[in-house]
Amino acid sequence: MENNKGQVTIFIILAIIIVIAVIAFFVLRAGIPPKEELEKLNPRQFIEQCVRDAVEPSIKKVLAGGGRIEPELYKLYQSQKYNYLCYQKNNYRTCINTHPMLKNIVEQEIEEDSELMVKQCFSTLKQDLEDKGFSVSEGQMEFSIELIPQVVLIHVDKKFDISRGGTTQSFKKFDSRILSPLYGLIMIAREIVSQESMYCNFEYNGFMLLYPQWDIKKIAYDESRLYRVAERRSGKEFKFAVRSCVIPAGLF
Amino acid sequence: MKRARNKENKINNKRASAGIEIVLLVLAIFAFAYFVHESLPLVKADDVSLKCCEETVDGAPCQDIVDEDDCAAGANLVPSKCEETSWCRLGCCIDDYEGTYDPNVPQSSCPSPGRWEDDKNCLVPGAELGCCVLGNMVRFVTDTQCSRLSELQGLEKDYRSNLNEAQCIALTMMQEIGACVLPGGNCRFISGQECVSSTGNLQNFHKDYLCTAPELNTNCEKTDKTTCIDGKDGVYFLDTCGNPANIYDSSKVNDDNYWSGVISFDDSCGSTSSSGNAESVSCGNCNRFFGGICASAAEDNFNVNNGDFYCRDTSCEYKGETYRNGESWCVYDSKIGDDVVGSRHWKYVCNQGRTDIEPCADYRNQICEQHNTDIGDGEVFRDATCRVNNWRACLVLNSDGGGISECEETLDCKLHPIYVDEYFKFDVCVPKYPGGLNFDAPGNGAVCGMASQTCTVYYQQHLECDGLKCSRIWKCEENCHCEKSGFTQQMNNLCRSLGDCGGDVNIEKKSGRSGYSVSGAPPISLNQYKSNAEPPVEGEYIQVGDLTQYSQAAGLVGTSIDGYEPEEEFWEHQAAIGGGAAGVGFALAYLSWSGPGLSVLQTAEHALEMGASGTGAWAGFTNALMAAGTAIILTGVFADWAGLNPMLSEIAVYVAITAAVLLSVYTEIGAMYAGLWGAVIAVAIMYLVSLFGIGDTEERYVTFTCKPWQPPLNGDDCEECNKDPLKPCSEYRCRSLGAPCELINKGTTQEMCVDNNPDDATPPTIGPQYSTISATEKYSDITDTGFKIEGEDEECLEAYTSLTFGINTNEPAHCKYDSSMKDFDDMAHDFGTNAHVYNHTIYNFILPDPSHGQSQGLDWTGDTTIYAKCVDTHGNIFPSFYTIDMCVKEADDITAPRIQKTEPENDALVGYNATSKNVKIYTNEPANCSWSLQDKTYNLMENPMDCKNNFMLMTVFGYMCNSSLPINSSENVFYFRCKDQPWLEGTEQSDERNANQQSETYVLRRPENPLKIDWIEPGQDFEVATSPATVVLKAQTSGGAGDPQCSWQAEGYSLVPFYNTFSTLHEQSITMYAGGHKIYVECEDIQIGDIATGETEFRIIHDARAPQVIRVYVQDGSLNIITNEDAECVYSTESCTYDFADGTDISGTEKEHSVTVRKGKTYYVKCRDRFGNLPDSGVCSTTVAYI
Repeated sequence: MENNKGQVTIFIILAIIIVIAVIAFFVLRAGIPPKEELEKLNPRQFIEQCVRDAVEPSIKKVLAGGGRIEPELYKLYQSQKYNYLCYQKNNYRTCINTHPMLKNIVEQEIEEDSELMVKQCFSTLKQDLEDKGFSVSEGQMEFSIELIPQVVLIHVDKKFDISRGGTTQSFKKFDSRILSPLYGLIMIAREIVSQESMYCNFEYNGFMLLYPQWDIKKIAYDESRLYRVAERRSGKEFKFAVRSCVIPAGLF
Repeated sequence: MKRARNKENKINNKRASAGIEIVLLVLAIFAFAYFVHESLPLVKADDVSLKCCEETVDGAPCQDIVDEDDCAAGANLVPSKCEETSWCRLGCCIDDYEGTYDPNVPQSSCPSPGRWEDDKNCLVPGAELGCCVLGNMVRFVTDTQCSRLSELQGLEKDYRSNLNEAQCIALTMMQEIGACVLPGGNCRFISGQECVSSTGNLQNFHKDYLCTAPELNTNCEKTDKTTCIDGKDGVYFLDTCGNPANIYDSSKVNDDNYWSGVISFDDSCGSTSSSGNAESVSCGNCNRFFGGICASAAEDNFNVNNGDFYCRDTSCEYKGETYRNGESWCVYDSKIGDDVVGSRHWKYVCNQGRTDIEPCADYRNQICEQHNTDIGDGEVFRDATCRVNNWRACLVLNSDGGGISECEETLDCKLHPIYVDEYFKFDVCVPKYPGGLNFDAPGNGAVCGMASQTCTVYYQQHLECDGLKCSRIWKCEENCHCEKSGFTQQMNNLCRSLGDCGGDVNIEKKSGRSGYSVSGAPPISLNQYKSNAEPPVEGEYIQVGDLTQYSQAAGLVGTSIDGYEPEEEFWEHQAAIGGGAAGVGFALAYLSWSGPGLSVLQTAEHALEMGASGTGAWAGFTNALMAAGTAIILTGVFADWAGLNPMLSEIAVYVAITAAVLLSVYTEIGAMYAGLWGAVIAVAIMYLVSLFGIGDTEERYVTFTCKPWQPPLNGDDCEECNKDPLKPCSEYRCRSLGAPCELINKGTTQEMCVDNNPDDATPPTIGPQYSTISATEKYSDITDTGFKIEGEDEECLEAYTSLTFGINTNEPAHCKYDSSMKDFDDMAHDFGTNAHVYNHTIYNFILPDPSHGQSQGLDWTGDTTIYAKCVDTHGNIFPSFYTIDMCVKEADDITAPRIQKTEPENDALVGYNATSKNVKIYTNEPANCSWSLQDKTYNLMENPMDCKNNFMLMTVFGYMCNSSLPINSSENVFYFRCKDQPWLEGTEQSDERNANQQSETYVLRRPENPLKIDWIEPGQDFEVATSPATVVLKAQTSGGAGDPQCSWQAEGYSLVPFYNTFSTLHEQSITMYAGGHKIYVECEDIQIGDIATGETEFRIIHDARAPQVIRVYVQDGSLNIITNEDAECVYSTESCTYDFADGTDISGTEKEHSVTVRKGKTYYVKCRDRFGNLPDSGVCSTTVAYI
């Protein structure tokens, strides 16, 4: 009997604890208003940081790949692929610009490479919010990259509504920026390609005297010329190759 | 002639062997020349059918390709050059939003929203660069780019199109900068422009004040922190607001005055430092040109008094010499001009304290030039550049009509004089800096072969007596020095000067092998090899030459690089090579040679002079003189009749004079008879002497064969290539170090030069090259040590059959052969090439009729064996001999000679004004040939040709005869016939000679009309939108042989071929500046040599001005505007600050424009001409208030 009583007591205590816990949950939950909780969660900051983290590897890839995430037409030198920005298969002739409007190409490459990761940022946030009892409604994402001097601008347009308990917070733009000399590096690469395609040469030494913040190395390797353009301050480097005005060995 | 009779004349085996050797020598030269000749068309671009592929399999856009398989699936492919297609035509891809202009872009590659313009140099309106001021920064960009950058930075656009790049950059030094006071005591140290953009008020800008100036009452305070600023050299103090202040000066950290106003560089610390304050702990007034530039002190482990930055030393040290930042200098592997095999020119650059290496293009396709500019105080600034080595052009100048006289004036060329002997001297145009050759390339033989020469040495038989004992001996008479070592040395120097040819050394000073062969003269000594390995002379460098030529070689001046068409030059060059070993130099020497002796008449005259001077003091002088004179004249005539050689003729004259004088003095006969008898006696004596062979002449040939240099036969030095980080290894450098050296792991970090098989101790094995045998022959009796070549009918080969055969080796090997068993090094002939290859082929091996050789004193038999040996890259030699047996059918020669080729070809055109034409014909066997204007038998043909029938003089096409044929009409018909075995002429067997029974008909024509240039465009002045502008020069030709080559020449430049030529319309795109121009055009019918010239003069007018409104009036409610040039106009009724695109159209696209207007309105009108010229931003063409 005593055992039965003890069991009943235990069950009662457990029931009380459960009831208290449930009440506490709802009380505590109701105690943090959704708006404040959202402020604490800071979805914008989360997305912007996540997007930056998503885009940065792509920037590194295009720097290494001479404007391409994965170069197709390239010269292998010291185990690195130097993307041909200007290429002429035949000897003696000037090269053909293979990447006109390079800035647009690079922007597009970064977009394509990082878009999935950027979408993943929203998925992660959504899941996180839903786990926290929020309901999330989202629209189509428009994602673009814009290169401007010293900065990579990331534009993300996406309707992202978070609501709970009749409170809704809407987000539309998640623009962020990454400090990067990519724009300047691309403009110098463009200039090199233009000169190479017209004059078979780029006088990098004089260029560096005029613009000491840039460090340019030219390497004659096989029948190609490899360029490594770096911003001295950040050390960020853009590598590419040209094959122009090739003079073969011997008479022919 | 019967074989049996000849066989009876056989002498010993040694002589037989020597005879075959001569045949082989001739064949070797012949085969080599054939090889060269055949290889050339393969590389002539015009012969190759190029197709335009929109995208190749490797992803390259718009490439001219040969093999269709190179084109990506689905990509456009058309049978024409890309420049002739619309989608691959090159132009300018314009991004109107960003303001960028990309040249050399195929139309199909310019992506949306790009705009493509048909000017591949982007000399289009809007592409001009100017100075864009962006706060305290500047950028040298296009107008549109400036708009975009200004917009991005929120600045008012400040674009100065009248500044060049250097002036633009200098603007940063002169920028108005100061403190921009912001609300709340904040402050930024920026430009006035930026301040206005930020605050909207110029009142907030305090020029030349620092944010820390007490009078500004800002929150910014001084600190001891420092910073670097983009685009500036110095180290700057930072204030607490993060603004830069004045130049870092540790003595001024707490100086309030120093933190108040802007101090100029000149008034800052260390302004007179000659080192740019490099490595100063206290002063940050760096100067990149003098030696210092702002950098992180922490990164460089440098202790500085304050802050984290200092002036890093930007100078560089190299071999004890200090170089300033930005200086560049040339480094050479060997003495300039004596560049050894594998060597390269290097440009070293001092790049902010780091020495960067720029290898000039390998194979010395680029050379390093240096220019030292005096910068005062005895100091210089060194500037080096790698530029195209123009070495190929020098070789082209040696071709027929190539213009050797232009050699010294041609960039990178020099005349190389050869003077071995009086009759073996000539000049050859050679490169000042010989180019390198790819060791395996088949064309190498063509380059080196230009220095292959044969010197003909003339010997004469004399009677030499020692007391009473007399004997006949051969004495050298002419070109005797050709048999000395000096001949080999001079010829080897010539050979080396052409490129990687001849006896030379590599960068490790190791001698190559087999770079030349010489017969008839000693080889060069080891010391002579060593003398080739001279190190570079300290302080010696290639100086910048004539700038016009320099630029033209690089394709920079007046024409695009496309104007450089080396393929054509190579084709011209081929003419010289095709001439084979003779070359121009030898031809000149040959032509200047006056023959083995003086003519009879000359001999007589010569003797007269001698006689006159020797009889002066004699009694009866007049009588004796008459006798001597008669003797001289008659001796000449008799000697000619008797067929005495020149030497005996000359001796006969002396004898005759002596006899005549003696007879006139001691006998009663008259002077005339004395002369007659003197002549008779002298000629009779000499005739008897000649029967003993005295006075006979003999030609001996000394042959130098210049061949491609080949690396040493071991891999001991391969890894030397990996050791010098300042001179990185390359394929060329590596392979020059040894035959087995190979660059492995290409493109990886593990790329290195190694011996590809260091344990190789096995000699190569040899077998027949089954794929290479003439159609009518076959290999038989094949063993491990040889095979036999026989006809399909298993018989001997027909005489004069052109035979092609070869051997294969199981590893790359160099094979040689000879007519007898010799050591490999002693073998005279390369089996195909002297490079290490698998396939070794002999082309056009012709075994002459044995009887013909026998008749010439050469003991040839029908049975021939050649002995071959091969050596691999490690020097392992095939142990025995690989024998190739063949035999020639022995039978009576009953076949007439065959004319194999004529030069020019039958039915060829000759010059419009030509009166004669030198024609060559080639026969398959030694023969005499004649020509006639009528078809008649050989014996009746009146005009014998000059035929070279010596076996040594056989050419690639056979035995050559030439003659000058008269050109009298538009169609000139000639008939040729030949007769073989010329040596039988005058002998009992002369009836055995075989003459052609039918004539070879040969026609030469004149063109119907002379070559002329019909017109040249531009022919009149014209306007352009930009300067420089792309101008298409065109010339139309007619007449002549058709499709001439035209060249053009701007004033002050060289004559260069049109890019599109060899047709009747010749075109060339030229980049030209505004102003007056005169262009000379010269067209040449390459085939016939006719030349037409013309010139054009025009002025290029740069229209950079907006159209001017010259009259405005209102009539019937219409505003009428007259402009000074064709234009389109728009208006706004607001102000002049609108964009042209936003204006309302005014009708009229020419000079008259009208639009309906309303009273009370003001019309702000802007007009734009066809070049896009507009009034400046915010300015109208005219403003009309209609009251």
